[in-house]
Amino acid sequence: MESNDKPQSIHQVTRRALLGAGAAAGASLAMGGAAQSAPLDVPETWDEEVDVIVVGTGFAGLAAAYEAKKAGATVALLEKMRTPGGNSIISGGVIAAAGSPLQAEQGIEDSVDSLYDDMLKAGLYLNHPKLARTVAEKSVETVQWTIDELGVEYRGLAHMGGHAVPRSYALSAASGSGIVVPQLDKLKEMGVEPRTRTLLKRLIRDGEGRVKGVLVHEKFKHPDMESGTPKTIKAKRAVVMATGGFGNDPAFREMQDPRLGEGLDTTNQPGATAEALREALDIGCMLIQPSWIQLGPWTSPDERGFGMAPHFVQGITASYGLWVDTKTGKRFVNELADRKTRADAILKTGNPCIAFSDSEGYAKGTTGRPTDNRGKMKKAGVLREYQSLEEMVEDFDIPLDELKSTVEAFNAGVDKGDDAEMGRYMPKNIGKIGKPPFYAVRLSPKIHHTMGGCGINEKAQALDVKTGAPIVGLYVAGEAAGGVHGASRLGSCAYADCLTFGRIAGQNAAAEADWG
Amino acid sequence: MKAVSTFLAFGLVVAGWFVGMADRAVASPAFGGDCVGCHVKADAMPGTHIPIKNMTPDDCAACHPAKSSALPPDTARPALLGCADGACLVQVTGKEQKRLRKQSQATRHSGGSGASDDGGQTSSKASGDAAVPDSAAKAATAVAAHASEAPCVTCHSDMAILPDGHMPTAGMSLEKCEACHAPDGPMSIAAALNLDHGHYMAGVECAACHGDADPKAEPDMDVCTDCHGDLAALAEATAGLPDANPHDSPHGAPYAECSLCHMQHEPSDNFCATCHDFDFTVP
Repeated sequence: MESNDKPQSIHQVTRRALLGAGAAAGASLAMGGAAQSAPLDVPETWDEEVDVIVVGTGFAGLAAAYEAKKAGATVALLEKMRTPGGNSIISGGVIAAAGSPLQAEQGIEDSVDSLYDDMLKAGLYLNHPKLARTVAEKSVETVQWTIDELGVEYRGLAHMGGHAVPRSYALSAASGSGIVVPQLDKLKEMGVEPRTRTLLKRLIRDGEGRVKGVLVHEKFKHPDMESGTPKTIKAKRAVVMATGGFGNDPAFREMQDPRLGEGLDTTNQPGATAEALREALDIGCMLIQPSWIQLGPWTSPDERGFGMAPHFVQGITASYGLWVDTKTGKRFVNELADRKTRADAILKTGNPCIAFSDSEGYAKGTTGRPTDNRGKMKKAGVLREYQSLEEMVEDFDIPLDELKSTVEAFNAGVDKGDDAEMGRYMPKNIGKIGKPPFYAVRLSPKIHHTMGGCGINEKAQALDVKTGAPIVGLYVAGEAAGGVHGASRLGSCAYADCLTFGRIAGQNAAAEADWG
Repeated sequence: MKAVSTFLAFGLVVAGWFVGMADRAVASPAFGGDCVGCHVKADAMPGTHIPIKNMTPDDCAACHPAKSSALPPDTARPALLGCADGACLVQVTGKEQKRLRKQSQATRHSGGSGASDDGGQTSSKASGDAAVPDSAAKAATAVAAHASEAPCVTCHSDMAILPDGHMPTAGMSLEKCEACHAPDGPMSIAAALNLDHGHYMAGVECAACHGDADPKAEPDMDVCTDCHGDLAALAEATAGLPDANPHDSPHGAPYAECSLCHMQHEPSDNFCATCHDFDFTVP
């Protein structure tokens, strides 16, 4: 981050006095925080001590805090932003579960192996098998945990791209807040509240390699990395890093994939930056697969960030509508393929693609949603409505005859129950496309998820870059960790990953031996 | 946006102030009544007032800046805040302030007009008692008591905080400032003023939020909610905004701090705009 390179300021010198924790920490501050890679000595005295420090308040951090507290540990739950929840609280609201009760109710056959296979296929077999299998095996248990222990409510199953069958539980809230808010509520009952605006500045690892605590900046003002007041917190048992990915950190992103630097839009919240990952690397964590940065294929150039378009594009058009290249009037990808396949296909066309549905498809795809954003999307110019295909064709300058034959071919496949052109999964309630009005969204992929991160084992322990062995006292979970998803993550598998490994990290962190 | 301006106000005085600060749509004078209709009677005027027989509303406004003025309210020359059903709303203190606020609300709820929609005072459906805690009334009183003590020159007579080349301002009257910086003129500085100015000039001085500690530390959020109400009350007040309710996000924000969007010493920031094109003007 640029701000890390700032020269030492008067402010930083003043902080040395404020810290009062000995010369070691003070010296590092006087050097301008983490301006250079250098270890921070273990302070002689700490400003605060707890059993477990959890950094980050997305799904993974909150799950870790919950499990650690439940196991009897004292917990400090840190969040650098002004509001908790990270990307999780603004995410799309679906969690994969293979072989679930809802699937059984709907007669959908599924298995752990099937989910695992889908994850590896989308991940180009770069997934670390034990990690991917852990997520697949625990997927039903994890969803059940959200229901039984958090009281989370779901409205049905969704079919996300790249999954063999519909297996994603869709939150009634239609947003990740449907899990994050119950997590926060439950933690509050247990006496743990997120400490917002508390930045993880340094991880403190001793000469023997054990992680013993953290240096934070309280009252941090994103994105000024030197803002706030330093404070040391001792972790008697462990630190859990659930600090998310780096989708909104153009400089770090560009280092990993030079095509993805400044100027590209992202669905990520502004705090999805890499400073915590940099710090983990600085104390000797293993970095794996950071170049695999996923673009979401369902976003619109007509609004910022994640916006509202994905609910229409994925929830409606991927199952009940079509995606076409406006230059040719033809489909160019299986609308239910994995994200990488679809984003790559859109980019390959040069971006003149739209996703559209008719009114019946719209109704089917929105069934059970708490709100319909149709009016808002139309007002914002994201969703366009047409009384006929001719009208739509004219707006986008699509060859009419080509588009008509595309629709006819798809409708013929509906009769046969088989999408001959793309092999798309046909849900039981699939219908022919043709009833006006028609709705369309322009497509423009945006940066969504960073697959790489700290190398971990299936206990969520961070791995040392030199020895490959677990770093005692440090756990990493969620998007901050790499390996689960390989080259590309499937939709609704982040929830399963973050909650599963968050819980594992929290349980193991609380069970770690107390070093004093 | 107008509703956001409105709910944030401490009471009518400050409401007029913030709206005036944030929105230059209302030109002075904003009131529509004929002053002399009431004020020609001796008992409706302070004893020291100049004769007003045959005066026009514009004549009155020459001394009594309307609510949209960027001038701080002046107890010596009450600002005219608007005209509701023939009752002139002027800046007053204490119980009279409360009474006028209630009167104004009653007028708004009955479909009357205390100010133009452009002024923003009529658009909040929940600007009644539910959204304005008792502490707001106290604040309004404090505002009236302190307002006259906080003209621009209180701080801006110091050349160090004026832009390079600015003329000396020591001893300058507010009218002199406004000669160049007319609120609706091309050199208006209203839009450049952060919320701290709105607070300060309304009588909410540094210590009201920061206490007497030196150096000043960032206050807890209670300092905000004590006057402005909690998130639930604010959500009610902004329920009518067209795009979305910023205080009741579907993404849930039980721990969101006011300063997620509302800044005091720097421009405020629409956090929703991270992902959405919601057209909020954040006070």
